Amino acid sequence: MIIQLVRRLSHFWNNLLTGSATDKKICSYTLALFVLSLAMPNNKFFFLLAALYVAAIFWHTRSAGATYLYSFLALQIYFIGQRYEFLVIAPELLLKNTLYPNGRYLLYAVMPSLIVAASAAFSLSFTLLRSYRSSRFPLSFVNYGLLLSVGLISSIYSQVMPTLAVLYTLDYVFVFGWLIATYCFLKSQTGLMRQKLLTTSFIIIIFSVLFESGITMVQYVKRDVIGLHIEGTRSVAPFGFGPDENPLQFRPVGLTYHANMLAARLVALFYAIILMNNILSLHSGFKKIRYLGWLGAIICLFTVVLTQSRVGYASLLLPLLTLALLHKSHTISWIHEIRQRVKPYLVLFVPLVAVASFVLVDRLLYLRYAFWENAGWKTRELLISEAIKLIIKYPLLGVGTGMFIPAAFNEQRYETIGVSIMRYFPESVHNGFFLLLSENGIFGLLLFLATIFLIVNEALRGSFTFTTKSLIIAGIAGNLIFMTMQPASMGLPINILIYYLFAAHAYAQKIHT
Amino acid sequence: MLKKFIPNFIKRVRSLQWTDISAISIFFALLAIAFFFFLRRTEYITVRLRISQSDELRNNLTSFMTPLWYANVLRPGMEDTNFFGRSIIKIDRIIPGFPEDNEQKTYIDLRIQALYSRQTKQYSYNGIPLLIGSYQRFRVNGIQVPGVIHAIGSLGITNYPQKRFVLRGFLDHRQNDWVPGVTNQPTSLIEYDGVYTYLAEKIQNKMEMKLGDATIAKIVKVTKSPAIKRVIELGRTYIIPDSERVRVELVVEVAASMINGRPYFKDDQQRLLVNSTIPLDFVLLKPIMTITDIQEAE
Repeated sequence: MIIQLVRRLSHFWNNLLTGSATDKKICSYTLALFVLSLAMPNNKFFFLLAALYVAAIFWHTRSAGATYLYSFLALQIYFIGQRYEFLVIAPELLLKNTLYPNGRYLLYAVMPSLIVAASAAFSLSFTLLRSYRSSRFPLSFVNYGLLLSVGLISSIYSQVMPTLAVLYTLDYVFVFGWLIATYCFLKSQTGLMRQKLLTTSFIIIIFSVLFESGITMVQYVKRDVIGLHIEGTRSVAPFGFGPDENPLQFRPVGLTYHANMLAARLVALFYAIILMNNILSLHSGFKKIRYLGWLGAIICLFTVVLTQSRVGYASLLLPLLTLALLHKSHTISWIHEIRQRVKPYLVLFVPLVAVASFVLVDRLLYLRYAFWENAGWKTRELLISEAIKLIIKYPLLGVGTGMFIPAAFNEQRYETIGVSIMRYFPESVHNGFFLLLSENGIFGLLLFLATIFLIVNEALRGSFTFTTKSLIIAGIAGNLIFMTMQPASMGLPINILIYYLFAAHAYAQKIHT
Repeated sequence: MLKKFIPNFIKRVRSLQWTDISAISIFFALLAIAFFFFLRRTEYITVRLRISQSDELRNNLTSFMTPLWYANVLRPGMEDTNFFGRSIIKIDRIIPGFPEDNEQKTYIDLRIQALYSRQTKQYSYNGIPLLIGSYQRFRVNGIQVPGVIHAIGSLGITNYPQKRFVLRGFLDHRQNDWVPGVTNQPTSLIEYDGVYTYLAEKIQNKMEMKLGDATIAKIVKVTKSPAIKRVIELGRTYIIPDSERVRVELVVEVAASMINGRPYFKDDQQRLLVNSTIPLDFVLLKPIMTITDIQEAE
């Protein structure tokens, strides 16, 4: 019976992907990676699995560019690797609470995705050598490169922990290197090959969303981490301290170590999925796996609801509402189509909707206490006031990437009046703009804003349809909304990375036509 | 199958472009570097943790004591396992420390799946380095286990040489009474000798103080004599027999740890000195003896 079931699934799988310009073997390898990663007992085996995955892709594709593209997209969901923790605030210096019993640590992890990105970055010279004729980069690349340079300079001159700050910045540099290498690689491929690469990447992203969402749902049901090695944390941070938080609710973390981090990732993945779904659906053969995209998007939305991240809700709701109003006729036809498609499977969606409604209503009911003492808003205000002190002291280059917490804590040591929030809640300022300003200075913030402006400008002037352009802008808007309430820094979220890949595709198409 | 595989393999390798081979080699080179330079192997290590009320973190604004009852919740064999049933942390042994009036010290041997770094020669658990003397919190079977790390593996386990000593002394009322030896007559002064009768009656020959199965102190000889009290009134001293008290002199044989050539009672807690005191815990009573003589036992 099991063999029959496997055969039927395999037949369904083949049927789904046939004619869709997808590399079935890569999809199978990725599925195998996710399934096998569940059983990994330690980092050694996980790295081995990642290495085998990369080797298998390379063996099949015979292309380093394709290997780096697929493997980075698949491995970037994992937060585990060789972890290093650095004690930045000793426990005896903090006011007693259950959140930081052993003091405050900063974490650095050498992850397989980082090694893939670093490899792609280091092999950039080979990529440029092969595709030097088509090595034209958008201006936003140059601007972002400048931003990273500023980040590196501010990290080198950091007065707190310069080595760690440089390592944090290098993470972004490696991902950027991967992006440039993949951008050049895509531009150098034929139209059919590009379609295959992007469609397969789409499947990989769907798989990653379904995988992480599955783990998140199990965590939610269990009300704790599952105990898998691939989970980013062994215990979920306690919840329910402020008046705007329900202590009885559980916030799952997926493969990350905080629910808000999971929400940030899922929001970016959601926008990446709907963008890819929109662009790739223009190609023939994509019809069948379009529904996979919808499934991924719906599951993504549901999982964001489970994370109970209010800013996650806002970063989805506001841009999507705007999109719906801009494309009223399309929206109505999509809703009708979704209703028709979902009807046979309604029984599966009813429990999801019921749970989501309960979680949403509960979280939003507590929102009315958000402006009370010790609630979310007040906490953010206090953190912003700490950030302002750092900005005044280090206006040009900031304190170094990732060094807000130790720098702000060191500043409050000189205070004689009152108790700083850093004594009992030593966290980064929950506003990405203030964070960027305090860590990388005014140069960093200006370059970041310029990058966003240039990306939007390039997207609007690109050869995309109006719908695609609005989806790109909606994604960026979602990322920026998230930045207003969470400590997001200068990293490029996945939806912007995907945008660049399609920008390369569009550019190459333009050249050849 | 091998005959077909090898030519296919060679053909496939030859079809690769040198840029692709170089680019992918960088990945495996970086992976190898990460493996050899950053590798930390996982191994099981026993960590001895001391739990006591005074080992809690203190700071300027707040402080609280770990409740005593919690130490009794811990049992050997309690463990946390991962999803696949592998033990991550386990309580191997619980060693009750030397109980004092205000503090219950308990030593716990935890078997932990820790990471060992060859570069720093350090163990870490959940990313936090395990250092002797550091205060750590562990989680076992839904119980938080906080304490100071006393030993990691064999490091920190100190087996001091043991010697037996014969102590001579007496029970001083100033150590064993709670009633001040002053009358309410402003012109008189009373000096007491001996301890209350109800306490002296309980002290018998061959009483033993145990820690687990080991005897760490044993009364070898008890000498009881009538006690007196000296009353100084208007410049005159009156010696009066005190019917409520008995003078108790003891000869006690103790097991002491020799640390730097000096004898210590109860591991490293109390140095044995003439004219110092040692508490003798006999479960239901705890007389405090003043030492007048120390001799090495034969």
